Amino acid sequence: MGLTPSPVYGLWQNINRAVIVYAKMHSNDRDWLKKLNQMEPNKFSGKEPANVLEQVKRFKIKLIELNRHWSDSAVETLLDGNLPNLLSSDDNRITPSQVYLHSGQVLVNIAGHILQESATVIEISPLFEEQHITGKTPSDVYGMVELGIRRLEEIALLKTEEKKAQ
Amino acid sequence: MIRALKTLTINRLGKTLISLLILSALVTLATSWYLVRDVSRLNTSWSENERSIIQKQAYLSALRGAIGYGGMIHYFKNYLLRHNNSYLLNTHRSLLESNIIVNGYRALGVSAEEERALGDLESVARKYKAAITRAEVLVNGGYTISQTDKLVSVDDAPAIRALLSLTDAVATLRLAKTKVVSTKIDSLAITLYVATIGIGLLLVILILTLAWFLRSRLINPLGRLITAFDKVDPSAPGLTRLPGSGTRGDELDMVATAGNRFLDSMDTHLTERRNAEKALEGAREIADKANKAKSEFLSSMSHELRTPMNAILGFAQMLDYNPKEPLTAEQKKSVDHILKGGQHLLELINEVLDLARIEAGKMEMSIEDVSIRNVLDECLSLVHTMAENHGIEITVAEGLNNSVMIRADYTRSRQALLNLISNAIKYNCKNGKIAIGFDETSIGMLRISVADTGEGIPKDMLAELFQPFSRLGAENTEIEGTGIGLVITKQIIENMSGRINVESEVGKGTTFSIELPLSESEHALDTKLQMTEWGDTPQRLTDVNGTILYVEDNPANLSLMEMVVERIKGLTMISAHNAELGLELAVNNKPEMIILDINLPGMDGFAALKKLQEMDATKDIPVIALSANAMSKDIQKGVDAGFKQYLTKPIKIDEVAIAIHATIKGLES
Repeated sequence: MGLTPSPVYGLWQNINRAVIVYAKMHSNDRDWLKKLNQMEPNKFSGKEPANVLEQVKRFKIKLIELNRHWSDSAVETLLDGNLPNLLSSDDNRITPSQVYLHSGQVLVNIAGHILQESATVIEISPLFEEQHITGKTPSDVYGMVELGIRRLEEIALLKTEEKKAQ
Repeated sequence: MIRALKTLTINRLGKTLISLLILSALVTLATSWYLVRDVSRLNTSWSENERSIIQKQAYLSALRGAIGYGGMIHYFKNYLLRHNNSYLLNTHRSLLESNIIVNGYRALGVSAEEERALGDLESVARKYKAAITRAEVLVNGGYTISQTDKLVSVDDAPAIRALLSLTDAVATLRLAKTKVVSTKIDSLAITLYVATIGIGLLLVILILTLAWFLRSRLINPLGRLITAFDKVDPSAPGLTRLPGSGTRGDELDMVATAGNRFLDSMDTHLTERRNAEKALEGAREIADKANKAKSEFLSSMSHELRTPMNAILGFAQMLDYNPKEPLTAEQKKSVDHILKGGQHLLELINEVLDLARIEAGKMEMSIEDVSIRNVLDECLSLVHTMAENHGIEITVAEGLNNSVMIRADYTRSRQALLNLISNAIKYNCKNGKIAIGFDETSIGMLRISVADTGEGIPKDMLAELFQPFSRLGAENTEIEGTGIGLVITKQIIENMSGRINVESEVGKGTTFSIELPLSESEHALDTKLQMTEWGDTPQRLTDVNGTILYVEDNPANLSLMEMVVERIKGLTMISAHNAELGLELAVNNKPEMIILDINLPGMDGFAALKKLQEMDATKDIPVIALSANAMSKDIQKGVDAGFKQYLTKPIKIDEVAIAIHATIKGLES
């Protein structure tokens, strides 16, 4: 209903960019950041929007684990209000729009976290730039989400090592 | 079509009607199915439209929230005014939301107008996105609020217009959809109207066709049939022809054909019946003639037997009582035998005649209220001498008074009871007893029992008791009897709605009982008849002065009457052997009274009486009939003709003498 996987894919490009920005807030290690920046999405196939949504939710959990201060209530989220109901289909099938909705929530929260936590002034508007992408499949989106999760895992690993070093 | 209907039989009409009705039902069902299907489709379409519109309205509402003054515009302006990052973030969130909502709305299917409005909204959203991005740069670059506001301003009017346009589009859409549904409803209504009118017209045509058919093919032909049936002459049904329906081979035509066959067969049957009736009538006439001949024979026999009996008994009586020349003891005994034998013969004649009348069903009964006490007393007085001669003691149960009434013929009930009592005397033992009892049965009958102390009757012989001429062995005894008394008694009782019963025990006696209906009235006719017995001692009569004329063709009877007249001092008799001479004598001699025989040669007694009544000279002379025609109808006929008295032969001397004496005495007084 509504959106195709391509806008979702574009949104996840923005989320991955936001993750890089988020990583920069935690480390100045150029090599690590370079490595993080160079990570590529894996190839997946046969994924459905529902698989993508599950992956999005795993990303959200990783993000919460990463920062205990993370809170859904930090900013108003897209999941409030009547919008989720509007997007639900009669047969309860997950649509790209629903994945977009949850993904948008993730982006808004990361952006909010960046605004809140960054010691320097970071412009977040570029993170919301519209990506004019076409022809993407749910598997492509899945790959982008999985890429974001891997990057979060890298950040978490970095933070764990920092704690150990301290 | 009309031609086809005209040749349609009722059976085929029925089948055609059923087919048409089934067709009507199928058309109705098909129409109903079509209408229901369309209504269902309309309902589905309406529901989908409503759902789509409702969803669009929900999206529109969400869009207003995301873009309007409570959403993107609100956050954007506040960011410009306050430079607060949360407004920045919410501006982006609102933009994301608007993106989702616009695409969701579009997915519901949009019109060109809607697409245009959505495009406008997306354009406005892109402007705001660019503006917020620039504003963020400016804010982060240290620009003041007023500077930022001047540099970054977005005209929100297009967004508001786009929202209004979308709102109008939804409303227009709703109107359009409503119009479509309304058109469909109108179409359905027209279909329904046409179907109803069509089915109604079809039914009206069917009903009119049926009515026309019933009238022309059923009611009218039936009416003609009924009229024809009404005109059928019961005496000659075959003369009437039932009209057919006009359609060869239809049911009513078949009814008419069958009816005509029936009338023909009735005609044949009636002809046969008439022939049979004619034959029957002929047979009846023959039977009537035979019966009449029998009656005439009986009457003739009665007359012919009584006439000589008149001489026998009359002269025997004269011999028996002749003061001038009394009989010797031996002569007296002989005369008594003649009287007794004659009396028995007369009884036999009377009873045979009674039996003949009973068998012919001509016994006349005059049922009335009768005092059984009077009947009994009369019977007892008649059998008194007989009982004394046999040494029989008769006892009557107490409690029977004159007010106890039965419904019976007086004379016949007396005859029946007298017969039972006479039998009880005759068949009793020497110095025996007779007990007469009464009781009322439970069914309103009076039972009168006559019990004797005779030898009794064996049970195996009781059945023969009521057979004619069956005397159960008494014929070999000295007891006189005809053997038909009980038969007559039984018939008399049964003709009076009563019944007779007998119980007997050998060596002890026999009890006869008769039951007759009790009357509800307590008034009885006091119909006691004066009875005289043969051989009774003649009464001594006072002297009279006068002449009687006796018209009689039988010389013996004339001689007998002369001897009777001689016994009445002062009375003289003139006689004539035919009516013509008798009339002449009557005119010339003007006798005090006339005694007329009925069966006279030439002019009979009735004609002679009429002549006498017509003539001034004789019209006041009392006339008594003296005839051997002794049947009740003869007596009644005589009384009706105007005879002062009707005496029967054989004459009872005393009775005749008393009648003559009384008549002349009456004239003198």
